[in-house]
Amino acid sequence: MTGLRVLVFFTVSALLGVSASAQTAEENAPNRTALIAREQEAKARTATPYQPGRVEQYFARIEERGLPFLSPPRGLYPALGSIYSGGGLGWGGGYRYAIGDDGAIDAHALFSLATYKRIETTFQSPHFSGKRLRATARAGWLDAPRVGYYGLGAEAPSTDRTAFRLRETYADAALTWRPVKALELAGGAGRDAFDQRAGTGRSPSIETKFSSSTAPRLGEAATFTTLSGSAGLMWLESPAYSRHGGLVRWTLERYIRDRVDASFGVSRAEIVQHVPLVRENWVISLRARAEGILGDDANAPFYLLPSLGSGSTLRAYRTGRFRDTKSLLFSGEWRWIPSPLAIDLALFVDAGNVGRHWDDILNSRFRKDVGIGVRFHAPAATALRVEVARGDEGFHLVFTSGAAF
Amino acid sequence: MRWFGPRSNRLAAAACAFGLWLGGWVLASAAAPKFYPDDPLQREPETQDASKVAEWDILLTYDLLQNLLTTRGDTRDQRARNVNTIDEVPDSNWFTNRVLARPMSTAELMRGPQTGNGPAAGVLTLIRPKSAGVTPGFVARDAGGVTWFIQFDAPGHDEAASAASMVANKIFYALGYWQTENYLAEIRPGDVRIGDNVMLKLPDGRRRPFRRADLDEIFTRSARRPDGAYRMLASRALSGRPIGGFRYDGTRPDDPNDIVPHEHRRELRALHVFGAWTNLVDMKAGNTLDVVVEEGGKSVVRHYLQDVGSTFGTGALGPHAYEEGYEHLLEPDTIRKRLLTLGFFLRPWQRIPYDEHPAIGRFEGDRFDPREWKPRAPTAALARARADDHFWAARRVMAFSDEMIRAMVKTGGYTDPDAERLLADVLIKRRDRIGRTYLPAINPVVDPALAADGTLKFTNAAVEAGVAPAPREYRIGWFAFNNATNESRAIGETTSGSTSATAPRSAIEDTSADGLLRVDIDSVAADYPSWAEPVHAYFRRGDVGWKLVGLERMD
Repeated sequence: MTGLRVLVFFTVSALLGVSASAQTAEENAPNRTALIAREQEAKARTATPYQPGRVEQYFARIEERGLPFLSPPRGLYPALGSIYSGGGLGWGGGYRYAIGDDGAIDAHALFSLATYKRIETTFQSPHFSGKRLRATARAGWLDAPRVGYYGLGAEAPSTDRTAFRLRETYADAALTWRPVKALELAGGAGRDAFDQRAGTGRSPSIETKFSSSTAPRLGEAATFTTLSGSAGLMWLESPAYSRHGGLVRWTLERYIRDRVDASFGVSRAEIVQHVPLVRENWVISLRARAEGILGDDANAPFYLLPSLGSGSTLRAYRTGRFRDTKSLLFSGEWRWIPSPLAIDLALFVDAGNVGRHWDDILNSRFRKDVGIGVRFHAPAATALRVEVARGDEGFHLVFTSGAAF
Repeated sequence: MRWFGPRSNRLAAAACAFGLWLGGWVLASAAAPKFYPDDPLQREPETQDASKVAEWDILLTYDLLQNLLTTRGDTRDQRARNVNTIDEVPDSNWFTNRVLARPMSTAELMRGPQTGNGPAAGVLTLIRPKSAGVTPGFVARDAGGVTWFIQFDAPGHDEAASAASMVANKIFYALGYWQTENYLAEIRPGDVRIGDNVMLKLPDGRRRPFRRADLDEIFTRSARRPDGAYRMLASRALSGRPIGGFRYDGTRPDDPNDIVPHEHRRELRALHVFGAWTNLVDMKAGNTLDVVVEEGGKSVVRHYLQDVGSTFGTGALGPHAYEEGYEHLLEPDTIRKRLLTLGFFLRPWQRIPYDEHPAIGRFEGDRFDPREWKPRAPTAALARARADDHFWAARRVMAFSDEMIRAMVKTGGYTDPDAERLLADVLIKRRDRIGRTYLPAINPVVDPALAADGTLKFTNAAVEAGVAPAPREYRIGWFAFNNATNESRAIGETTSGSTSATAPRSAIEDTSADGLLRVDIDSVAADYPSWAEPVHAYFRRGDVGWKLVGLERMD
């Protein structure tokens, strides 16, 4: 009997439901406008302003204050950067105090896994004279405990790797002038004190294999007054990332010791050209760089001699692998652009040589390498460059930021 | 008498509840008529007061990354949800039917949204630096107290950005979108004074007073004419309360009248076609603006397609990059193919020749394929567009005659007649490509009309536009339609070699009780198999004849 009664109740209820719904439909939705109005009324009852989520709030902060590591920070900030060539990526912190529109005083400290250290304070004036002129200054101290040294010349064997420690205390100032967009002229002066000592790490220390005849000024502390000047003509978008254009740059540095006869200079010339093909689907990038000591070679300490081997010179060779008083480097890249917004790939070849004289360089074997790399970039900056290069000493992995050239 | 024992109480309650629900559902399903007395709506109702809608800030980077890296909005394939029963978009605070819906004179086309003559003569007072975009400019108040957004062309590309904005503004207005009032004028630095308490935001977020040097720097980044003047695009500030842009997906949560997800709004889906035509690549929320306005005694939100300047072949600072219009900024599949093929996976944009003109940029119509066109970032509303949305949009594009296009292009104020001619020629070519692509893609029967005497007339939009040959014959099915049950009863079938036919007498005399007649029209065309899918037209018997109340082109 219960089943029958449930059935009756169900039927009566269903009929009541039909009746009620009919009445509701008739009263509330006589036309399309009323139907839509009903939906809008329902939304009005629950309408609330948009609430951004945590990620969106983070982006809001970024848009207000700039991108971390890409925009100038304010106040305390986490710092990333290079300490000394071959020392790996330095991590640390800093404090930046803004001056004017785009000037700042910045103090930061960096430390790398290879135990390289740097403490530095920089001053960057706001641009003035119609954004054409800017002054900079810096003072700092660094400690590079395991810098590689293999001897002089291109034939120095890799098995002769030794290490030395270099401590440098420096202060300098410079003025940069861009009379026109494409031309940059700069000049500066400073004081640089070097203290070279025994190296640390797995490689034997430098003094165990080399003497002052094979490593000029080995073990000497030296203090220089420095003068520098440079002129650059740039017709590329940005030296940090470009797919077209090029540059010509010449830099002259003068290291003056207390005794004038112990002074020397360094001259560096570089030319870069990027040739886009098929609307920048491919880019052929070429570079030539020459560097040499001016004056009496013997006055230049071995650690200030031109060198090849690093993520931006001979990429299959370790940092500072080849040193001498002159160096010549050629690089070529065939780049293709999977994403114009963010990703480049490149096949590259580097060829370089060092020697006492230019004739020595031109008449002896160039060291070469080939490799492939991927670069993650922004319109005017290379955020990450990962490359594998192979030379006659094997493979070398490059993991860095910034353009190769 | 006791109906239930204690053990049966729950069962009884459940039976009652289920019965009530089922009864209601049955009736609601059966009783929902297909057409209401006010169909087809000519205006989208906005019944609620929107005065409390709050301003929001759609973040440029966040919005871009969301669009590039995620799939936004409702991805179900469905008919646009804001169309009325005859498959048209009613007028609203999103869209106003203009071209195709009614004749537009040359004067109206050239005037567009303009209501006056631009900034009043005299000194402009700078009241705010420009806060978004890369175009040099500022916000100023004229002598009459009207606020204007001022933008200049980039050096080396005089007239390019300002002319593109002017012309696109006229096109999108004629198409039906809410547009700002834009004017071209000339100005000299001495004509601008800096207002009180104007602050400049620095890149690191700090703010400081705006100085004359900052104004000089703006002019330094702007194209200077030989006589020392600067051509400016002046956009009149919108009346009402600005509340930020609109997204191309979802709804604004606090706007009670915004109930159709934007990806399902036809006029936004149609921007795939309009964007392709004009190469409007920068289709982002940041280029739109919602404004709260008073209308009919209450506040409602009006939706402006505010900045349509990145169009044709130029951006704010120079020509579009070659890939713009052909690729999103980030395409994982394309990246993978290029990566693996050393770049030998070539796309059309890498080989297309352009007649580049400094005032036009890179814009061509010979190899243009609207199906391949892409904005910078995937946009949900465009991605949801279906063939019927494309068709709807293509009809509007095709409604512009050559003369209408040339008239609108003239408002760009190009000093070089070659530039004006080039832009108009390319727009005409791209218009024709759009017509050839989208009009024949689905059954193109439009504008069916049934006279009181039973004469049916309709138009084949593809044939009328000259982009497809007429089919051999049209097949017309006649049905009595029961609006209450949504059931159709076949009455007869006729054929016609033209776009005119006569209804069977029984169809006119013998319809269902509520007087609706359904007419299915399809045709056999060997090159267009989709034309065999009928268009369903619904007519309601009126006092003086038959009124079209429904049209379905796709399910």
